[in-house]
Amino acid sequence: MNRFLKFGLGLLIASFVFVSCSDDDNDISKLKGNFVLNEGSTNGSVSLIDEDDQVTLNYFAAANSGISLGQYPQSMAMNGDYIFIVVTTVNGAGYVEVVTATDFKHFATISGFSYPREIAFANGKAYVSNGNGADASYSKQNNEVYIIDLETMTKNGEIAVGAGPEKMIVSGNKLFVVNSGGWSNDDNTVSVIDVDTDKVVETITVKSCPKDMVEDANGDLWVYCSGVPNYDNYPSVSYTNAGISKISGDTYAVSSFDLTNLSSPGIKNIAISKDEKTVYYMSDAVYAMSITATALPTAKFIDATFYGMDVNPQNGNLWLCVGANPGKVIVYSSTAEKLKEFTVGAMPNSTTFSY
Amino acid sequence: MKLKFVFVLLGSFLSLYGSGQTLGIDTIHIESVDIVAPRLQHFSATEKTVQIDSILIQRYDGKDLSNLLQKTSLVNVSSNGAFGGLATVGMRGASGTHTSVNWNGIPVNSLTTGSADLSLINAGSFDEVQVIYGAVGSLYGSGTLGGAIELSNSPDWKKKSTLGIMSEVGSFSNTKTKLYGKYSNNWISYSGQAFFQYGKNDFSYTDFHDFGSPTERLNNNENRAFGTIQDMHLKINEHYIDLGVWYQVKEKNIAGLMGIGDPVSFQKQRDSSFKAYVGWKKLIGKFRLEVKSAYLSDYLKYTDRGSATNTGYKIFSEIESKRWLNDANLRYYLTDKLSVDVNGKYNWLKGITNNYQGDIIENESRLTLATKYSPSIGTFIFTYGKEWNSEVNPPEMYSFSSLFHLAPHVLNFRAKGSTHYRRPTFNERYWNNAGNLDLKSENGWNYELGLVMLPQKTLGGSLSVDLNAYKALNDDLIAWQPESGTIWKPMNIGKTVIQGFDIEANHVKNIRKNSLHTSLKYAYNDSYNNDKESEEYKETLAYRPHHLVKFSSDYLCGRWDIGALGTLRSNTNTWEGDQVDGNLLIDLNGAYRFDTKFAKIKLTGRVENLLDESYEIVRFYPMPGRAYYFGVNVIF
Repeated sequence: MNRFLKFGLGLLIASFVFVSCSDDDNDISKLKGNFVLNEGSTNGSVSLIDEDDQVTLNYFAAANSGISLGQYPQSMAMNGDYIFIVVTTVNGAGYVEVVTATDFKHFATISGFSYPREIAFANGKAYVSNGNGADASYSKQNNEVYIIDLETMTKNGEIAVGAGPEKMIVSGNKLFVVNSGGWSNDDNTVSVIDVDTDKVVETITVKSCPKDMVEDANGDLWVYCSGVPNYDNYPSVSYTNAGISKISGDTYAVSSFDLTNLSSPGIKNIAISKDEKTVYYMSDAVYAMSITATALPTAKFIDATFYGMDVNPQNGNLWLCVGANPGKVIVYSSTAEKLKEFTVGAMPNSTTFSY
Repeated sequence: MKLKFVFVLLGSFLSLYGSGQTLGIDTIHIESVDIVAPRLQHFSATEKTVQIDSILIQRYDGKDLSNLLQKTSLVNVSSNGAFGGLATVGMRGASGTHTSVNWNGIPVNSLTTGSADLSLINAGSFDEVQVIYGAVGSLYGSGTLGGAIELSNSPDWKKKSTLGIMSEVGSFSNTKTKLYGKYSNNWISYSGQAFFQYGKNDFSYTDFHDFGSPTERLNNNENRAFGTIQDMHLKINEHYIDLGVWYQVKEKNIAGLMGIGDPVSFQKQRDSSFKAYVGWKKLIGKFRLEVKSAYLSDYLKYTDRGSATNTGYKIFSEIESKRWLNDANLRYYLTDKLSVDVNGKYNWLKGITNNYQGDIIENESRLTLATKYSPSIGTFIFTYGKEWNSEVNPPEMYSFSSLFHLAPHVLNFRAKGSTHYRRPTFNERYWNNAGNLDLKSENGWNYELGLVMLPQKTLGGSLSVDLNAYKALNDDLIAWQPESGTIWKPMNIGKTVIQGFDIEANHVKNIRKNSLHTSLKYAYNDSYNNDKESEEYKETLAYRPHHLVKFSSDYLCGRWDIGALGTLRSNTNTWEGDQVDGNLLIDLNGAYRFDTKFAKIKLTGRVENLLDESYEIVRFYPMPGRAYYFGVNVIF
């Protein structure tokens, strides 16, 4: 009996030690599922699609005693124990809402932004792109990237960049920021920031109005540039100097592909496959392009356009957002086979995957 | 073909009743009020028309029209915050674009948005405020699915003169001052007023959309307005001439919203409008001829600095509209109980804004044929209307309405079937990068049945009851929808059904020289999407409460009058499926009158939102808690 007791006690201690030392400890408690961010028509929301494909609408509000996310959430990212939701607002008082990754409950609100768009993480800091790129007469106005202290969840610095900064990607010790021109539609650069010094070390010229960006398996960056819109013949809208610009991760050399058939001038229009060897982008449809290709493909991968596009890094499926009220997310396989469709909140623009 | 059918029907109708009732000119008796009253009043006999009690108009003299209607009528006010925030009114489940607001018969809804912003209209500026439920499209024109609101200043042909000043101060630094005067004799009736209003409106509220439900204080919510309204009526050799001018300017800051963080806003709006009309009426034999011409100019400037540090504007938008409206009406009295109206309109409409591709001009004309027959058993009205617009082609309109005297002086029965339409607004058609030139007019049918108990002596006083059930079908509903990416566009999106019933009971009890007026009103409405292809099929439309209750009781006792007023509104849905909680609001009022050698003086006091309820009407727009008002009205 005593031997059984000792064995049992030993087993209990061993399992305790094993569990305590596991690297997966956080993953066990972290929420799993696919978080769809909905800009909303008057108020944004998050829809959770769990591993059993069950959809929970207004997940943020449900987890936070009915508090609404605000007008209009633009992007969302996970970092360790927290999930960060960037809310642009319409009144020049944007904020980043921080929730805990375990239960989606409010942890902090980082305020003091005029027009926040995206967030990225490096060196124990967060970076928030901010600014609408235009002055009162819609002329170009440069903006900034704010540095966030993740210990205090407050702003503690800013870095001047181009006009209307949007998507950011961290590659090595560099933070790449696309400068879209914002409401002025007057920029065509990518700022490169050294995250050790928080200084801009390079400004790269690409096609006009760069808005979205991915990094491929070779460390090269693919920048989606929506071009300068011309509304003179509205409802027919044309775009000048739109394209996909490829930036060498080593030399920052740029090679660009013209987009002449743009009909979906959204913001989140490019994604990378699970193996990071195929770039998906939208123009008049969704196209799939090998990262070694020297010309844009002519064959349509999915013959439709969407409001946002992401790839599930676990299985390589494409999650495509249909901007409507209520919105939809349609899931396609990496072979363009339609797999699933979910009804979500209004104007979904992206999906963040937690697994 | 349809037009021909209508003429044949109209002709048959006239010959049927006209032949049996032909009377010589000498025996035709036409009420003088029928000559002087606005044209449309002639056809209101079969409509559910509720005139707001003048006591209530005086009490809320310092407030805007949305406030008055919200407290006194079975209407659904949509308010983007109190004290100057955009406020529109919908009736019977319809929206603000489906409610026609008229000043002495002249439509004042915005040319660009289609709805009337009632926050720009003072409650006390008019002698009469009438609510016409389910107004007929063939008579009132575009946008009357829900009904119409008539604002008017009536002539008085008795010799009298009045000069007065009214001033009110209230919570949140609100002040209103109005100088007014009236003069009338047997040939002229004049009324004029000039007003100034200011409010800081920095009220505190519980932000239940923020973490921890903090108490926050609104900023950037200041507004000020000034203006004048002048009306003159002349009666010269049986010619009735009326003229009116209405000019006002309102500047308002637009406050921030509830939600995460403090309310922040750097938005401002300036609205100015000039309206003027001249009309002429004359009875010539059996003919009543009326001609009216009006000019309306509206200007709106909206700016948003975007941030505290921005010295310029993130958004700068100006919208101006000019309208010249002309109306000619010929009424022929076949007998004193049977009349036929032929009405023609011509309107010139111009929209000026950098939000359109250049200035936009539209011309529209309308023909209306209407006949009214009032035998002893009731009143029967048939109308036909057709509008021609240089850019849109609205459908033909019909109506048949009736009021039967089931039991004379006791019980009336009301029945009505009519069509309605709403043509697309300028913004819906021409707004840069979004307007849709292919939009069709919304259209559909309204049906209504009503039972009216005329004032009867019971419960120690006089009781009247008005019960109505209605149903309206609306096709080609216009709504802004996301089209591609971030671009939203107005589209004809399908069908809606609006149905419900409303009941109003009024009781007056006189106790010696005192009197007690009590009113109880209840409305049930079910407005839903009826498009089988839509994902919201059968779902209740946003911001349409199922239940509305209004209660008021006023006790007039010698020099004193005191009153209580309550409104109850049930929960509503938002466009995104969230819920806005219902609310119960109670106001208390009191007034004391006394005379001096030089003037009659009335002191007033009012507590609004006595229960200090935190509430919203539109989600995220805070409304004020308890507020106090004190006023004085001096008539020399």
